[in-house]
Amino acid sequence: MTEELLNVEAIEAGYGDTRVLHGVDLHLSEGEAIAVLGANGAGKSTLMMTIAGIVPSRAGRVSYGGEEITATPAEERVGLGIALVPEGRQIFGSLTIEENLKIGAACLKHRIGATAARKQVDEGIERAFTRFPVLGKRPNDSGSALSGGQQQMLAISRALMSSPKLLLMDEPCMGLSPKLGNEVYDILKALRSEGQSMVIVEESSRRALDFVDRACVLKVGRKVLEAEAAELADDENLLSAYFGIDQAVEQQ
Amino acid sequence: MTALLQHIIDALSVGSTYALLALGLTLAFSIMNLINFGYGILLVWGAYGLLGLTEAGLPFGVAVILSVVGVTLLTMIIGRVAFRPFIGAPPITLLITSFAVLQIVQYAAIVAWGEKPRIINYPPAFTDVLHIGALRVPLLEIITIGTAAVVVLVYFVILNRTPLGSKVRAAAELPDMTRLVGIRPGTVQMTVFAISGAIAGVVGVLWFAKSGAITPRSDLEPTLKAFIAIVLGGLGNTRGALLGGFALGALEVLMSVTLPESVLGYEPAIVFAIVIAILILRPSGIAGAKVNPA
Ligand SMILES: Nc1ncnc2c1ncn2[C@@H]1O[C@H](COP(=O)(O)OP(=O)(O)OP(=O)(O)O)[C@@H](O)[C@H]1O
Ligand SMILES: [Mg+2]
Repeated sequence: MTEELLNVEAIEAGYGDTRVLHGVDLHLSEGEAIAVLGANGAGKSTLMMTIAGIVPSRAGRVSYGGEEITATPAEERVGLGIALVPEGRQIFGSLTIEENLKIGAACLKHRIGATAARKQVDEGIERAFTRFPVLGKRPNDSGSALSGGQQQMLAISRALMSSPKLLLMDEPCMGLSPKLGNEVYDILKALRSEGQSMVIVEESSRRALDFVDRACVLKVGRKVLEAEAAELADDENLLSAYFGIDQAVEQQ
Repeated sequence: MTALLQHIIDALSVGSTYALLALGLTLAFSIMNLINFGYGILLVWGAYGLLGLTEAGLPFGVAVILSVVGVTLLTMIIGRVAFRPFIGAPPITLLITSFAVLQIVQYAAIVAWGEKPRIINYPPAFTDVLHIGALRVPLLEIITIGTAAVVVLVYFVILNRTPLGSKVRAAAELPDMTRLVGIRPGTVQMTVFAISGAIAGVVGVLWFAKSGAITPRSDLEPTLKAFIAIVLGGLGNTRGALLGGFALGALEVLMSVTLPESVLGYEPAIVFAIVIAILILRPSGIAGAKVNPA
């Protein structure tokens, strides 16, 4: 029996008067990866933002590592080990590449002390630059000067700076060419092989099913399906039944 | 030629104080959407602090430092107690809160210092005039320009070269992402109140050296000037705020030099007319850029 890492129970969340999530469950064990699939507007990003603490949950509970964190603010969750690579990457354009990385480790000082944090920041930056030499070539360029692919590399690296136990990836290939998308997946696969726990959001990607353990499908704020990834990959009919039009378009 | 140089120095000096005020205000706006009508009253409290401390016999330099520190702390306390609970609310809520703060802090000044105008005893350096050929330059103008240059330099170093500064820039750009990396909004907000308060403290010392008497209602003019500068420069944009401050200084000097005596009384009306014209032509100010604290 593996340790429970994340447990989302009957979560309800939304914006203003609109309710987006109507009681969603999500369970993740340590070392596991799960894909959250669903069409445009299904509530996938909202779910990620609720787990990360930006969107407050109105009902239900979120626990992490056995502790309830439903009311824990976002700025404290990253210190617990939850890091989100948000949709659209959200790179700080007014900060340099290096500053973007450093700020990703902002929670460390509090968690492990100033000296240890400084060491870990240096190591983290070095690791990021080894993984993505293109970033290391121009550490003082501003984030806004980067291409979409480079921004995604930076966003992943920034999230990794805090050595997260749980990495939340919201549509990492959005707006990228298929080639760059494949590169992003290569990196995610490498992280998986190091045992990184992960939730990955995709609209309808086979690619994700290749490397996650399980996948679930969200439809207008409800989880309509959850299964082993292999099962879903084998049963195209099941998947397309849930995706409907999106999947049909993709297959053309 | 001498006259022109004289006017340029005047304009730079007047513009410096406006630019600093606009800088302090626009920083708070870029982070918290705070439009603070209680900004000028901070200058007044700083000046009263300076008055009290010099009258108590402290050396002028020490009194200046203490009053700037005092205004910084006062601003942080006001920020923590009055503004923080409303951060994230619509800007109008914060604006109204700032009026309430202004009332309270102003009445506190009336109670503490009375309504009678008071004069700070500035050292000669603030009142002497430098004669360079035919040029007559009040030392205060040089002090003002020099101080503004140092404050702006320190501001940019803090914002662009320190970890705290990168947090502030990050929060101005993407507040949610800034929280997601673990930065407490409160830390950033208090940093901003501190910087903005320190600037108000410094400007207070310069302002009343020029304008003379302090009353609890002396806040109106600096507040108005700062807002005009900000509107000219584009709300939330540092470079714009600085530019707006100097533009307003230049405009005022230009008018005082060129307008006939009989029209001079309408100067504020003319300034506002120009502001409105600029806003119609360039709604985002003369700098016309988006929110950017550095
Ligand atoms: N900040 C917001 N304010 C109000 N409504 C929002 C906000 N963000 C999302 N929504 C609404 O919530 C619903 C779910 O949005 P969400 O972004 O979670 O969907 P998604 O599954 O991530 O979609 P996509 O595939 O487009 O990223 C949508 O109807 C959307 O319009
Ligand atoms: Mg989304």
